Amino acid sequence: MLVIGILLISTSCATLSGPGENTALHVADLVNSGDSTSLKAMSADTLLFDSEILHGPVMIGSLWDGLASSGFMLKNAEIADYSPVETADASLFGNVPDTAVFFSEYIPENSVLFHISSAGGNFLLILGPGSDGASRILAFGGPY
Amino acid sequence: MKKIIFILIAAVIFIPAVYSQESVVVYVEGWVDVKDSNGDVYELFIGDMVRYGDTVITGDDGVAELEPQTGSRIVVKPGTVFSVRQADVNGKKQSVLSTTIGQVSFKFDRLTQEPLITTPSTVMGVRGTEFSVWAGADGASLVDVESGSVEVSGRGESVLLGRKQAVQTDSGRAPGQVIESMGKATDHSDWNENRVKKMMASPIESLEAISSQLAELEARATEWKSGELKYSAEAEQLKQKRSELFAAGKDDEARALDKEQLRPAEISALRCVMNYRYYALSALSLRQYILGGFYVRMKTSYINKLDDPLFVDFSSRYDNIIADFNAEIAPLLVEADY
Repeated sequence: MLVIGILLISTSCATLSGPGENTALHVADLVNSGDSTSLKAMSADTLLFDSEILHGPVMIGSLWDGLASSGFMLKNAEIADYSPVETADASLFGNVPDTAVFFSEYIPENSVLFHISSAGGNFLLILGPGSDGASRILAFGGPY
Repeated sequence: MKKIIFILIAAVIFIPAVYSQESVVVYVEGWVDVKDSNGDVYELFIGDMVRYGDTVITGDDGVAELEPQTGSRIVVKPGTVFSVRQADVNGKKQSVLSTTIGQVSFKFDRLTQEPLITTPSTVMGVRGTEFSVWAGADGASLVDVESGSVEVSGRGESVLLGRKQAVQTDSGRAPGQVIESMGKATDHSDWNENRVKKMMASPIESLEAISSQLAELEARATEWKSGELKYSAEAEQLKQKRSELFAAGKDDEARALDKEQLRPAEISALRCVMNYRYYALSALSLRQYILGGFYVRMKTSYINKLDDPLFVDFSSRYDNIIADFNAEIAPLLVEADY
């Protein structure tokens, strides 16, 4: 059973061609160090926070600056699970039209949904490839 | 699908007005994006055109200068969301230039058609002038006139501003007292920072004021939508009657019905479409940039104490506002609007 489980996980991970666990943990490190400048630079131009679509650097900056000002941390962050983003994942961020539209319009191919467990609760993070090939933060939400 | 087709028909019919009112981008600095009516987002460059349905979004360092064909100038300052829309006012199509948040300066040298200028809390009539509009993160606004005159209206009350005069309008309130101009050099970020401090000091009161503004837009949008349903149903009945007249060989009566009843009903329905779309999009801007921005500030401020009674209260009221929006306005929007 264990072998089958390992094989299934391996198969699942092998299908992922987007950003990996290390990138997600790097985002957690940036949050923990209050590095809102790097988080802003790494964010897509349109980002989902909980069920709110944030357009442009001012709104997105308000998110990362706000978290840094509050001293928010993802202490002991671990990747509990990750998988390619699917349309149905929109409901994890809220059952409202905004999340459905965001997943339909603003999530590029090869984006990955990470479930991050931390001392402060469980959070969701979506990373995807930007137009320059670098990983971009597309969505962040929680705790759930 | 029927709704989408109807909107497309309306768009086709209004195309001449759309193309006669586009603005050319004459200067861009820093981060400036445009979200068009198809929902596509792209970087703005000098020489691009800004058309009806477009929203210009500037970053902290972004500035865009637009020149409408009338020869006027519109300067979109940093940290701004500025939309170019169209509404039917008293049977006449009118340009509506909306500043949801941030600062925009206007200079109208020779007006062929006076546009309406709006913020979430005010509507302004322009009479050949140079002035600036500030829209705060809490839905409040400040209008400052350099030259000419501007009539500022909100909550059924109006004030007329002359040269070197200004007025501030709090969210959900009528315009305040006329004050002396703060000058062209006034920094939006300082003014807005004070609005944010006030908003965060009394979040429930501020949330209720934004909710009141949203409810007003929702009421108008649903009112125009009801009008569209009424005229569309009337038009369908008249089409049926026209077919019956043609079938009975009463061609003259059919043509008279077409000209005197059916065509006016269809035009009325299209005007209703234009206006319910205008109010629905205005409500969406308020919900996304003002209410959404407020949510981000509150959630990040209370992220380490989400069980704080103040945040719990805020969160519950916010959820109710969103639920109302999704029930009343979301059905009037299409995916590209978000």
